[in-house]
Amino acid sequence: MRTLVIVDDHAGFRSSARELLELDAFEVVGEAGDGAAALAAVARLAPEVVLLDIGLPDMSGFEVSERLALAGTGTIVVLVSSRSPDQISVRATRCGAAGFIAKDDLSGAALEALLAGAA
Amino acid sequence: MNARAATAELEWKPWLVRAAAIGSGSAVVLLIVPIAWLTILGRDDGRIGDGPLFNAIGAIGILSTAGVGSFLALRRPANAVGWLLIALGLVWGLGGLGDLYGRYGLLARDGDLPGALEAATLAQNTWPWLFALLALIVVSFPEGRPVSRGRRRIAVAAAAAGLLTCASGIAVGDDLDPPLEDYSAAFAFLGGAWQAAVFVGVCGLLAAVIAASVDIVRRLRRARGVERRQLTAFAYGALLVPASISFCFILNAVVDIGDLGVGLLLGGAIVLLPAATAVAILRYRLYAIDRIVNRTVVYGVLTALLGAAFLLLVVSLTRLFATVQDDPSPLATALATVIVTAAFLPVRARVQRAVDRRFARRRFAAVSMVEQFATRLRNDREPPERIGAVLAEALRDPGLVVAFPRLRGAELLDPYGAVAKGLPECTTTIVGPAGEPTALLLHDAVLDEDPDVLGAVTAAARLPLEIARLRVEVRGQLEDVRASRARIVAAQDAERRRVERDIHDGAQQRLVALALSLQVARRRHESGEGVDLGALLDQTSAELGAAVEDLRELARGVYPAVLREDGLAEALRALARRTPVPVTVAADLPRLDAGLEAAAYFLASEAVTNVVRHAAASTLTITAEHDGVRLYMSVIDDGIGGADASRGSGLAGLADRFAALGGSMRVVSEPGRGTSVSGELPCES
Repeated sequence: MRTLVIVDDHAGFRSSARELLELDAFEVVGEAGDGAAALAAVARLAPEVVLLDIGLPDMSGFEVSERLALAGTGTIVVLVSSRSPDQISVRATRCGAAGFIAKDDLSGAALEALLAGAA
Repeated sequence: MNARAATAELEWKPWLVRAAAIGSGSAVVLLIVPIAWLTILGRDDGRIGDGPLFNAIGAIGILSTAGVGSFLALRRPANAVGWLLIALGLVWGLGGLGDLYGRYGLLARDGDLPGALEAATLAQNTWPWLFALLALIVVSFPEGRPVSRGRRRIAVAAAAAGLLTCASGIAVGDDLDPPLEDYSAAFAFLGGAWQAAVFVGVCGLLAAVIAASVDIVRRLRRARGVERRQLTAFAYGALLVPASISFCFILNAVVDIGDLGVGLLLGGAIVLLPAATAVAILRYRLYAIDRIVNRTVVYGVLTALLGAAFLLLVVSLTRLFATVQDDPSPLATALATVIVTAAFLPVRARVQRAVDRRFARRRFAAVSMVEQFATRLRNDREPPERIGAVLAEALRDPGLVVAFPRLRGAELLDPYGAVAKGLPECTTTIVGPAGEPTALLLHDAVLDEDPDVLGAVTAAARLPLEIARLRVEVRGQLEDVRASRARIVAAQDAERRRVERDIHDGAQQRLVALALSLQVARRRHESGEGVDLGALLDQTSAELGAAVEDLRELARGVYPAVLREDGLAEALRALARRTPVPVTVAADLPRLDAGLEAAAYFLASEAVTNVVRHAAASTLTITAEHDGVRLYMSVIDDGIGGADASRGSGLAGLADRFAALGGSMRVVSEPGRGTSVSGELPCES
């Protein structure tokens, strides 16, 4: 089971995503509501994957991803957003993230496919 | 004794000063009585007087110097010039009286009057004092004493040379001057060799007079401000004396104006020097002296020119008409009058320019510099903004700044629209009406000492200044419009961002979460796990309801439907209904232009949002009134006040919206006294 941390400022999304992904054999080891908490959680829990919302209140998901890459944690970053994929900044491909999934397309299968492609 | 001590002492005994001034002046004036008496006694003997003409001139000279001197001594007892003028009159009078007495006694009465020879001898040696006193007056002017070492030296030289010439002239003795050439001087106790002393004295006198003249010309060149005024008045007087004497003789040679005419003219000229001296000392703040002199010269020259033209025309026209009819003179006179009258204005303008160029060179140069600029401006060859540089050059004040008071805001602007700042310690001259000035000149205080020049130059600059002011104003308004346009665009962008944010954070999030939970349910259903359908449907329905409410809220914020359909009054009541603070709405309005209704509505909704967020108010009043011409809107709360209208883009954006519709809005929010946001818009229902 892959370990996972979910980072999003909307609690409704976090709980729905946790429920959905746990059905698909992901182990959600933690949640965070903003960038600072995300960095702390990843450092503490060292998950295999972090599901990272782009629009966080204190810093963007891109910045969190860059910091994780700099810290060399080895955690795979997957960006999520409720924006449509054509509205995702080119930074998504340069911040060290493995890929992007639109929130309404999120599922264990979609996440697995992305992780398989990245590996 | 220095001047201060002298003044103090004189203040101590004012009656003594007054008595001395009046007494000595009157004594000199009284000398006229025996002079007149002797003149009348000897009127049949041509050798006794110099004729009525020169007697009259002498009398006028004596009276004016003594009179003016006495007046000056009364008003400025510490100033030596008054006393020196009295002395001048005294020497002149005593010389004249002694001369007359000597001539009358020796020639008409054959020497049987006592002391006639002595009187004649003394009188014929008074003239050195006239020159010495003249030099003393010049070097003492205007301070009342020779204040520099150079001037003190001239004064000492003049007095010494006067004394030497007078004393040695008396002591050496010789034959008397005509018509007493047959008599020898009374007190000849020194040999002829001493004649050399007389020569030295005369040279000294000449040198002193020349040195005093050179000194005053040098001082005039260097002088500034008040001193320049004084010296100018004095110099005009000094200049006009020889000028009018020459004019008088020329006039007498051309037209016979008679002895009386010559006497009056010459007398008038001689009065000018003491008069100018007195004016310069007493009334140097009477700045118009330049102008008076200027006008006098202009009209004098004008009268002479036009008079000559008139005479010439009458004479030549009379000759011309004489060949045609018998009595042509009335016609010729009438024609000449018409021609001369027609010539008056253009000739006057030319004479004025010529005189200005000569007598008021500075003003003339400054005014014509500004006038030339105005002409180039009219011909589009100069920008009006250059008026500041032109005035600085014309008035010779490089620090001069032209400033326009801005209609809004307290700051002054220069012709280029930048903030205008004068040099420290500059003074301000207002151009145009004081209540609504065209411009302000910030300049060196020294220009105030020449108000004539400053006045003439600002008058000439009035139109260019007005043009420059209008340009600054138009540019300012244009800048305001540009800035407001930029703010409107920025506000529009901000509004779009806010809508995007609201959608993203509101309805979109709810719908995404709903989609995920439906996915979870489907997965559970597929894997055969039981799904609580009732709970799922309840949750879904609640989330959808919340999403719909979010979207409604958003749509209302973008443009309330009730505002579009029912108008401002209903929209305000709807706003009141959904506000958590109790709101009183006073709005009885007809339907108005949609743009006006929207502006007024958003003023209210923005103000209400701020009140709810920040004001901690317990009540809120929204008022909208319409008087057929304007719409007045206000939102008043009883909260904590202290709102900053410039902070937060909401109200600033509204101010631009109001300005764009020709209206205005303001926020009054003193701490502890609630906040009032009000606006008005022009509108015809």
